[in-house]
Amino acid sequence: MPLLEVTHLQKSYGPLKAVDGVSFSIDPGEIFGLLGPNGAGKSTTINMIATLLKPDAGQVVLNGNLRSTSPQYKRALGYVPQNISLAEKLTAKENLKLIGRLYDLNRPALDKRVNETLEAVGLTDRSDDLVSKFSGGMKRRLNIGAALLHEPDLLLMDEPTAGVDPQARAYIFEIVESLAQRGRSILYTTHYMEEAERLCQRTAIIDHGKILAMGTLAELTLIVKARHDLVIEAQGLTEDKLTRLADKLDRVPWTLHNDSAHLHVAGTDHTLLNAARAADEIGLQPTSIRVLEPNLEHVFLELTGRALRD
Amino acid sequence: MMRSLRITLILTGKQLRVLSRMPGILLVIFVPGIVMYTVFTKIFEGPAGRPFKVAVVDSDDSTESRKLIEALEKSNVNVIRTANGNGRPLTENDARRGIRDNGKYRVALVIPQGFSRAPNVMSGDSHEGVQLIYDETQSMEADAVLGMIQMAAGRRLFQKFSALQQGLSLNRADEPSKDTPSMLIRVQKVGISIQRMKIAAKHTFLAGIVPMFLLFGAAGAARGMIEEIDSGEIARLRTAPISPANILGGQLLSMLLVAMLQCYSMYIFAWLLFGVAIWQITGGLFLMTLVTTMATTAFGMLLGAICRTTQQLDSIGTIVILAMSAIGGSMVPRWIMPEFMQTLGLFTINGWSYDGFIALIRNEGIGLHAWIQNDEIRGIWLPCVVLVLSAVACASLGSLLLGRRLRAGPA
Repeated sequence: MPLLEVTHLQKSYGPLKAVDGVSFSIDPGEIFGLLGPNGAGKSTTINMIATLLKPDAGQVVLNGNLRSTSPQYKRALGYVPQNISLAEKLTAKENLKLIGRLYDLNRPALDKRVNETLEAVGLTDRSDDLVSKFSGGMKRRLNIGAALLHEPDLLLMDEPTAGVDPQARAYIFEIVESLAQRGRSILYTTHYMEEAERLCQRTAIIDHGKILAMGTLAELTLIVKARHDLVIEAQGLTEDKLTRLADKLDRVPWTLHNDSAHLHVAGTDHTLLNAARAADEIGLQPTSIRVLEPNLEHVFLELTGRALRD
Repeated sequence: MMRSLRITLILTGKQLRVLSRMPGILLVIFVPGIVMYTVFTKIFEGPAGRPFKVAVVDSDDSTESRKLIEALEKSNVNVIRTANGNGRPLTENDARRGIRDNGKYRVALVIPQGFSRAPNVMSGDSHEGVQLIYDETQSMEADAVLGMIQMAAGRRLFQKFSALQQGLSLNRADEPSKDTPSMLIRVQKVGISIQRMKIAAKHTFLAGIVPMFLLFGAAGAARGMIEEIDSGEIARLRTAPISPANILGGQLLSMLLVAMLQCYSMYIFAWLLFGVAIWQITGGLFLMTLVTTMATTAFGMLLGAICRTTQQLDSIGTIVILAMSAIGGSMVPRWIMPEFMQTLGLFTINGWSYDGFIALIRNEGIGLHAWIQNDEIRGIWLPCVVLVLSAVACASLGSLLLGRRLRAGPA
């Protein structure tokens, strides 16, 4: 039985359909990703699951029978919002205690959970510091901690790495991976394909409010197995030469950046050989030719005709 | 029910703890009101001893009465003897009208015909004395004039005695004797209770400045609420197993408590510095404070619900509060305003709050214990009812708008 079942979820803002019939399910212990560019409908979807928005249609069921109107529904969810939603003038410990009390946690269980949570997000030594004195990354970690405190069945994480530096992002990845190891179920939205690839067992690619594809990384990349990105590096690479090279490879689309060209070619067993031969024919002497393994970026490009960051 | 109350109190406690760690905001909440109150009161109270107008009705027109008036003129008062400067001597009616209707005079001295026949108590039972008519709210000034009259009478008596002594070739000091009776002229004090009276600066500005700074305080709290919506703090709370009423209740209760504290800090300051008699009206004062803070808090919440950004709130809030304060008597006492403006002021929280406080200070309103016993709450009941209704209206509209905004999704 899935932990979360989302069926035909819809939400419109005037004529704009922000979420258009989204359906997916999350199994217990699974990290499920919602990958899409800004404005794709990820946050609207997660906000409907978190009861912050009322869907126009569709339903969300948790643990097989809990509807969003059920009093137990909210207790089974932990929500990590995109913004740092903490009281800046309270300490880390005070913030967590406040959240704990709202979930009816009382001493000594509350103190125990607060300490465990601070340890889980690596903030034990800063527990008595005001949040306003924290770095952006530390605030992000506490933001996650606040959602974990009451040990929810499902954690909703809405772009938890938005606007953080690489070091803080790596720390957040470690937290999420550690949660996964402990069997926590997570719905994780992001517009970074590396995050979805690294953290999520299954990912749904969403754009314009619709899920375009869903599956494991292997299942999704099958969609683009027929095409590869070929990277050719050569000195003196010009647009003219590249046009001629692309013509010889069935006029494939290409991009040029300094001495490195990306060609989006049909994936055959002879891709590399054909490319080397064509380069030789036009008098280009590549220093390297390699085929990039397809990733979710390619899948998104294949499905929508544009890059994730567009 | 108990859980709901507990959650609301937890959220209230959180708001108060957050506020306690913002010294700058606390300073803005508590200090400017006190400073403004002090400045306005000092300006309008004027320097101690500034001459005030005393109307004199001299029906005797004798040497004795003129001597008394001259003595008053030498004291620190402006003696007015004629009506409108047209040379016609003032009548008692003129004097009463001047006090009652427009605060033209603060005190009137009426010297009856025949005063010179028995000008002081030494003259025996035939001494009729004089009449001192005064505005009941200005009794200190009446007492000052009373002192001046007795002093003048003492001097006059001493001069006569001195002349007599000189005639007997005696040489005595120039000062009145210590044995001079304390009440040389019998004075009948007549206080006038008037509807449209001048009210002491310390009262009028306390009544005016309290609601103005409560409104500014409420706007500041509304700013905090908008920031919490923008930061997603409210959104996180909404995902917890608590009701929107808990969240709103926590906000309102903390705003209300801070506003009450703001009021009482001003009252205590007014009592310490200006001697405002707050301890004689504790019950009524608490009631007025409660309903005023309810109204201003709810109004602050409405402002926070209408304005979508803190910038909007800063500009719209300031304009609206200043306008309400100007119309409602926070800057210029309502009793000075023309009738039309006084009526317009009744469309503001400040106006009703002002009227209630003034009624209370003028002892028209009374302590709660007396209210319960006597089934009477003259003077402040109408302001109380209007302010409670305003609070309910603002809170209802504010929560409706806030609910709509929150249902539209987090920022």
